[in-house]
Amino acid sequence: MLQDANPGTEPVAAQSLLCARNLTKHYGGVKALTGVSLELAPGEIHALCGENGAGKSTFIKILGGLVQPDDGEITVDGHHLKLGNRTDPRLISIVHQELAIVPTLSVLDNILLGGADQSEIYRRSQYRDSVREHLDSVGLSHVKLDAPASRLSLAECQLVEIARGMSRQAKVLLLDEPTATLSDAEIVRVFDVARRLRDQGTAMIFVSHRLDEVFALTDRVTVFRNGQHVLTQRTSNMTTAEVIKAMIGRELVHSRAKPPERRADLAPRLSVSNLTVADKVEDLSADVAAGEILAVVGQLGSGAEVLVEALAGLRGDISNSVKVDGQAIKLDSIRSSLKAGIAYVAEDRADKGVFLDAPIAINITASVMAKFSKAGIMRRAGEQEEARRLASMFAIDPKRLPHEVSTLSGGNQQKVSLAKAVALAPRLLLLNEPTRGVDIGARAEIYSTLRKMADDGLAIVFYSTDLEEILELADTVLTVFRGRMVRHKPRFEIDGDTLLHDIVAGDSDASHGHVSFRNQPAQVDNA
Amino acid sequence: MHKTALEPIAQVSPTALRRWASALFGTTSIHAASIRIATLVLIVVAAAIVPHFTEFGNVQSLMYSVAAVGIGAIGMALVTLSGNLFMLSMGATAAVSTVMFAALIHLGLGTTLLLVVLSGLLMGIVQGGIIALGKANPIITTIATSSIIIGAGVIYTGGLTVIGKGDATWLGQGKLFGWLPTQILVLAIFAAIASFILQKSRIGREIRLLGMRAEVARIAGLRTMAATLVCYAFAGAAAALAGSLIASSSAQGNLTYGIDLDFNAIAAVLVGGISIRGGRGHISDAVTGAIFLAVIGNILLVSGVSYEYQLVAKGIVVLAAVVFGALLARLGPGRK
Repeated sequence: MLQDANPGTEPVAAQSLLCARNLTKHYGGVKALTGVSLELAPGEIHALCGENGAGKSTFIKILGGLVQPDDGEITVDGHHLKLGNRTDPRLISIVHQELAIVPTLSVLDNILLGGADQSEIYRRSQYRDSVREHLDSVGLSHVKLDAPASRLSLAECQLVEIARGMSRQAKVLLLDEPTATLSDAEIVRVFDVARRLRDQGTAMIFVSHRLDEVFALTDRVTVFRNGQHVLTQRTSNMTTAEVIKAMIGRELVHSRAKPPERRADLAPRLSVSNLTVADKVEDLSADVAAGEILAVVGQLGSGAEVLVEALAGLRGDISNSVKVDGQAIKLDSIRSSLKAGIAYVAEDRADKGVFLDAPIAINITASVMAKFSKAGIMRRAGEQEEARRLASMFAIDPKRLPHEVSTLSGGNQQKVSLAKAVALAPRLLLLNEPTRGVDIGARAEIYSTLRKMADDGLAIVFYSTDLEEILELADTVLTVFRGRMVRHKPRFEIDGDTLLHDIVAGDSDASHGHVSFRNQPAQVDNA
Repeated sequence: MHKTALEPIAQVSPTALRRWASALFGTTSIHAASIRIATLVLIVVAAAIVPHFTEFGNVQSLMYSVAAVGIGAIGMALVTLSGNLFMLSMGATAAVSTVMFAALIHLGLGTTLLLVVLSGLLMGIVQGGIIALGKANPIITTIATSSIIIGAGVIYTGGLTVIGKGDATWLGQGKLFGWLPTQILVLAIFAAIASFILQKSRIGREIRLLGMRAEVARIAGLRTMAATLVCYAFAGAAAALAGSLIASSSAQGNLTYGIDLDFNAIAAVLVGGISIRGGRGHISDAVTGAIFLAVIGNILLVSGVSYEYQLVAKGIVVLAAVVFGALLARLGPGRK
């Protein structure tokens, strides 16, 4: 099927190849982008850096026409883009962070998918030679054109995406974290391709969390923070520390009292020993004391988030590796982890965290209904009181309890999600990205509530990609790189640079031996 | 628009209009409220201008046509609310139940009802089990079981009508106070039970929450399997009870009786304003939908419109209701 891509362009006078002016996008009360501008010269590789939630993805989506901005304008090669319509792939082409590969189609069809050929009759044969060339240049000479994409590994899928981006011969190519799933050798190949395209005059935006890649590849670097443009500089004029400082807005100086003393006579609240989750986590061991907040840190795909999910019972049977309060527990499903006193707050509020269309009160008590029912019938009075208690704990207006969660801001929705887990009175609280998409005010409230609960003896383990959050909230930090633990240290012994280094490079002496870890079989799931 | 699917714990401060509406209808969905008003208006208008509409005999036949479909719609509503779309074996279950009812009626009405409803319940549990445990698609599963049920029915009857040798007149033709069919009483009791389960019980709330967002329900540790089983068990029992009502009027069973219960129940659920996406709606919505459709069918009938045109009209009404609901959902703020 051929996409109906309306070029939607009109010529205007041009200086740079791409010029985005004053782009603004709000989602409800959340400002994703505020007045952001960016210019790209022909033959430039431009790094786009920023923390999660800084607005990078929104920016990329606006350029691709997938998101309609509230304000702003974009010109590419002298054409005004009609914003909010899919951008002509001959002008701007995107290599997406989430793999946009159809597993049942052949490699050839995947590359031609949504391409510039807009005719009604699909003539794939005439593109075979050029597609072959593109595949060869990204190092996929061993992949057959007619093989179904489902046979490719994750890394190969990513390379196919890059080949697709090249095949469009777009003026501007957007690479949204193209290297997150690739091994070092593959990354080198992608860089070669990018440099070749640059020499042909293509302009590229390169989004990456790995700063070493930014410095190795790019000509200029732009940093976003909280939806705003912070700086644009020649990459060679910057240092890693300067870029990090621009990303998080201040020097990484935090002071926190020492983590709670581990009392030798007490068993740790949570004890993980030699935990292995196939292809994701290898042989990981760690203890968490009561009252301790542990941050598990790593890039997406590093296995750090898998550790938290596994403890929540979402990753199969790990009963043999986990003890709670010194006791071996059964841990093979969500319900068994709940039974063991482990509560989990998922990263995706709308799909996993809260019932958006149900009242706040009913959300809060959803996991503890058994406590408030007699002979299967709900007893409203006690339930109301419990909902009110938890609401006040998280500074949720009790007057709003009968209203649907969808009427709340993102930050307050997250508080409801947290309150639902805390209602279980857990021994261990697991948080996956505890404040993603949450505004600063609500964030501070959430942190102080979590800290208070920890002081009362709750053990908390959280996964986050937000550096500031990790340094703010954690007592101890455990870094994971390619499935293995890099470091497990008290927070006050770790600074932002070390943390970032662990995340992006691992323990450089030991890590390079595990490159093969990433070459796992393709897991293209459409869920 | 503020569609609250679950009963609020504390009193929401409503606008004057909503307070008026909820006092009159006890509902919070605009779609459902509209259908309630439309049903009332339809009845009043029909009483005024359609000849013979208000005659005793016609009102009686109207009530009889509501009863079986209403009970089927209540069962269907639970399946829809749990997020499993529709149960497409209800017609087959009802048809086979008419045969069972006729074949067993010599045991006495109470025993027969119990046995027939119990077997419908079992059929529902089996289907719910396949869907909950086997993670099978609910539509495909119920279409397949529908074929099995009807096949078994034909094997037993050879396609012939089974004449009952017993007395089913209490259910078939009985009237309270000389005017209220006992079938309406059965419908009312059935609706009350379903409504109580859904609104007041723990499993009922789990059913709604499951229907709203299955993944959230799973992560929150709700009893999703049990909830699915209860819905299908209830729907199976509803189909069997509907079949019993149909068979009781003539004490006969035939595999063509009640076979269109699927469509009628789905139509009632959709027209009544229960969200096809699950989680949002009330039992009373399904009953209202059944009444609305029965009134329309009755008006056409007494106006001398033939059956083919009644079918066409019914289809158009369902389409209009679905489009109406979709438009409302789009116009509502804060909803995609």
